[in-house]
Amino acid sequence: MTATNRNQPGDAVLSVRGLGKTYGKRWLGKKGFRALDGVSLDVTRGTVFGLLGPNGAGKTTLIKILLGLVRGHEGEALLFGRPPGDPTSRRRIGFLPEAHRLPGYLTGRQVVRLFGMMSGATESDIEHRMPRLLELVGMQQSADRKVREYSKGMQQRIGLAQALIHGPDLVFLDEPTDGVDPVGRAAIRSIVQDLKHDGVTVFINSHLLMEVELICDRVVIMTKGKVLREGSVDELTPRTGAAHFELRAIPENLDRLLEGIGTDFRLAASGFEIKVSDDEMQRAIDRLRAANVAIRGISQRRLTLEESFIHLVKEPR
Amino acid sequence: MSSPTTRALLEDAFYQVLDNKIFRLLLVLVLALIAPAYVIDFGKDEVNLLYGWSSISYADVLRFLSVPAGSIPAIDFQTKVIQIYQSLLVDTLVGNMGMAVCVSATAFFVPHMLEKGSADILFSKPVSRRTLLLSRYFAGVLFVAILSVILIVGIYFGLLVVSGYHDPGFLWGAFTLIYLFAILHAFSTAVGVFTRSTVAAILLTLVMFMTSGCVHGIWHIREWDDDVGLSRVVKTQAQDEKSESEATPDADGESKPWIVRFLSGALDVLHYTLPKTTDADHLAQMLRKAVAGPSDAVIDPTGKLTVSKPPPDFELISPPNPKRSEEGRVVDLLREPAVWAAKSRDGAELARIEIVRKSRLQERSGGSGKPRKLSTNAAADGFAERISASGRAITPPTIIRSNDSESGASAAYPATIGGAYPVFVEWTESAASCRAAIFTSGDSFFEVVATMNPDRWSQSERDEKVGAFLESIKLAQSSAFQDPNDWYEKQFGWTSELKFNAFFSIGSSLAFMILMLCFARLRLERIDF
Repeated sequence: MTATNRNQPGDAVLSVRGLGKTYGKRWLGKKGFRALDGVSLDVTRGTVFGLLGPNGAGKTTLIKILLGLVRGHEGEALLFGRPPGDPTSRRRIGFLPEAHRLPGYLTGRQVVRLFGMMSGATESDIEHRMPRLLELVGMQQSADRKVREYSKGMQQRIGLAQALIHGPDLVFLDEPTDGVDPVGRAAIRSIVQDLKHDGVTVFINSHLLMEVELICDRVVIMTKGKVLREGSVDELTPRTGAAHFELRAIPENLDRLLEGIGTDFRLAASGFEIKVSDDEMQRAIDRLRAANVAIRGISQRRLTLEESFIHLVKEPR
Repeated sequence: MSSPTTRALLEDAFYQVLDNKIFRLLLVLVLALIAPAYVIDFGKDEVNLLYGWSSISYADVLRFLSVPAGSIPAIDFQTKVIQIYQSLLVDTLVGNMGMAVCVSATAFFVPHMLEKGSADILFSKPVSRRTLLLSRYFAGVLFVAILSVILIVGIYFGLLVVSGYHDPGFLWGAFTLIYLFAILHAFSTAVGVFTRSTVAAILLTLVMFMTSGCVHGIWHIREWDDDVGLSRVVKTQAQDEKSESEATPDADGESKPWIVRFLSGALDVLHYTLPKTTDADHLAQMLRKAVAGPSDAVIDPTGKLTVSKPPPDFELISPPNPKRSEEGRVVDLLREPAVWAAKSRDGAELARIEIVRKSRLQERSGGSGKPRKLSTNAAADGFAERISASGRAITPPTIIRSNDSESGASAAYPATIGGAYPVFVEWTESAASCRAAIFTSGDSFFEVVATMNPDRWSQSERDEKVGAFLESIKLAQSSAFQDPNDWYEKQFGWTSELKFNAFFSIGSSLAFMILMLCFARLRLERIDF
């Protein structure tokens, strides 16, 4: 798919309304397992969308419904305005599943070619994209070895290449950095940024919240089959009200200097943190300067995504 | 389905098959099975091993194979031994054991596709579940098709190059192996989709294969028994002893207990439901005959006599336009004799051979009691008397019996004709040397009369021609004592009644195959991965 064919910015690439799914329907009085319960969300073009939630939250079920792998759901799900499983919309999708198993009897190159052709790409398109893609995922040297000889990280890289070979408009990445070394993880982050730059929508399901925080524009936190919170990373990582003062040297009488200012004072590696109002912050700066303490920097502390996530999913509803 | 997708799936199937270790092992085994065709020369007269290193006579080969040499004309030895070799390899070894191995080797195709991890990627592509299922199904069929074609074509060319034996009908063997496997693999595919277990797919398919073989085998025996089997023979003999007025025409259905009728009904249901896997061999034989074209054999179905291959000099001149069947030209020898003539280039008749069938049953004097059966000796004596009485004979007819120690068995005076013991009668007419062979079979006796011009053929030539003709005569066993499988093969045909019809067999088996694939597809559509 070329860039000219992509949707206009702001278009809903993916739209879900009241999506529900129960596994093991009621049978002889036994209730089924409610994996999704009225999930609604929209994902616009060019967004890197993170899907977070504890185990059993319904993240994988949501992705599988969108890909047509799980059927018999309630509510409405649309990809590019078409129902899940529609071949036209599937041609515009790339998918890297969690714990995938690629055909071991093929080489990495053959795997990428096979899935590219199955996704509707022509042979010339595949030949054109293959070298750059293999280079991008760092597999150009090992592409002609059988997949069964690959390490987990290498399989993950080839899995990513097969998801991108046909130039999709929407890419689902389920635990994309699973088993990949730090260099590989950085490469995957870079690929995601490139995709975003090209207007491709990326839907990431990951347990590595640091990764999500680094690359996602918007995040949905799910638990027990429901959307708990949706928003940008900034919205989901609010300020704590604490300020972090970075000092050149920590004076011995620091606690006396800040006496009567703010609460929750604690020393940090190169300074201190304290919960203060704006007025109190000004007074603290004045006192430190008066005592000739050199201030290198002051920053407002935010919750990390991980802290926010744990806080949300533990919060009784 | 788009062209790149089709190509991708075909390539995937091909690589999957080639990568399979059991496939490679089977390929080596297939080459080992082909090898004898390239190192054994099945010659016209004997079997030569390793290009002349050693040779074995056909009599020894047939003895080793437990085939009575007397039951086959010597001119058919090469054909018979090669057909046994082909049948052993293709029908018995590959058609049974090979199928079981191939089922085991391909049963994992579908369960592996449905495993978590594999299924997620495959079924997220813009390819329908039905297409993916069929791609795995055809991957299995491709697996067996490659092996079958290599096996059959390899043997065919080996026999053609080394033994000069040309039988294009044998090539149909590849199709029947693929046909048989396609049916089994459809069942294996359906089990694979429902259970997602390779072990279950293998075990249940093998159980189905064996059950199907047993059900059809028992059904054949029951049909054979109902038609001409031993129980009917015993019943007929018992009825013969009773007066005709006491005999009941057919009270079979009423006399059978309910449990027998129930089991018989269950057998019918299973027979008509399960694929006709045991018919694959018969289909191969029929296709083989169809490729070989109509036979020139002359058959007397009532007398159960066949003249398979008369010597090349002889041509059937009467009846002029006999009825044709798949087996050959049909003649009722009781009504009209079959006559072959050998002619010179100028059209002059050199020799003539005539066969006629007569009833052995003779009314007893006084016309009471069962008719008595004429013995071969009595028939020969009667024949000699008729020749003498006709006044045609210049020299009186000489009777030569098989147990006559002076004459002994030779090509001209074989000990048996089609398994029957003949008596020979020789005499001379004005311009011809004549010889008759009289032999009996069932309620009939046959007179084979050869009249030859002594000026054109020497004694040894005459002996050779008559001997070759007599060798080509076959007498079928009484149906009651035929193997049920042989009996079934005779009933089975393109134009037979429905239960023995080849088209029905193929159609019902293909219907089973399609049904299995439909079940598999319906189940697959409902799976949540």
